[in-house]
Amino acid sequence: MSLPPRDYRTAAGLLAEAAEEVRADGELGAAAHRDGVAAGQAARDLPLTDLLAARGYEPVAGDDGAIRLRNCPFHQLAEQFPPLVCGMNLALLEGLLEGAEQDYRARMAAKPGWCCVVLENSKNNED
Amino acid sequence: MSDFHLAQFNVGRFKYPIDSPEMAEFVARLDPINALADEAPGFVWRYTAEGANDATSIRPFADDDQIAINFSVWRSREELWDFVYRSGHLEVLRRRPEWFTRVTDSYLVLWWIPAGHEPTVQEAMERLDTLRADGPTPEAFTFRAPFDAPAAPVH
Repeated sequence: MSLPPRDYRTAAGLLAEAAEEVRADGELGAAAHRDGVAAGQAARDLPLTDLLAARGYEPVAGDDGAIRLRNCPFHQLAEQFPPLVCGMNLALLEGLLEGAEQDYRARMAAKPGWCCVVLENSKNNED
Repeated sequence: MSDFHLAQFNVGRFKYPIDSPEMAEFVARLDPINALADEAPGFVWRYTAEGANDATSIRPFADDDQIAINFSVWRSREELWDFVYRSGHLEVLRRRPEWFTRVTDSYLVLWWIPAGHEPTVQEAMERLDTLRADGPTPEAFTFRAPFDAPAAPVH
């Protein structure tokens, strides 16, 4: 049985363009955060790297205790609308960590070839 | 080695006067981000006001003194893109709504210049006008609608 054609990429691009136009970064971030919290709560018994891997991020643990992400699940969209989509991704990961009650903090640390978010072990830091 | 470099010019409308407390975190980031640019691969030149490390005191729009400019030259579009979107600069961009009002017209323009040419603010304003009037063309374009450098030096 074959599925009818789907074209989420076109819809995503148009939605992102409209969101950028009306500056819905805040609303998008809030929605992404909520979504992340729910997904994190559902995966509370999973190791964090397993949760991140399941979401497509390809996590890599560094010597400094931080987790870097080799893959951007939203790659093409993030290249077209970087501040919007990378901001969304940051909020999503913040939500995931919160929902899964993990001792990590998500921080924007963009560099070529990696997802723009780094997860830092917050147990090592004093707030 | 290309005979052409890429100039970029963008404008932004400050939400508050630059010396107000709401702008403090933006102002604090100016020197570090400019230092990042200076060290970034492909960086050639950036415009600064006389005696300053940045261009935030420049107000080239006679009818709106809250509009500030940012103006630089790079060896390639890819290297500029990497600095703008894949460096510490991305975080400042992400927080743009805190410090800049929404601008409905095109606010960023790219164009090719002969390597070694130092463009002027007037030239940049003309390129932005061209983009706003004609949409993206080889003379004035954007990241989303890019054009390659000319094949031969322009005289």
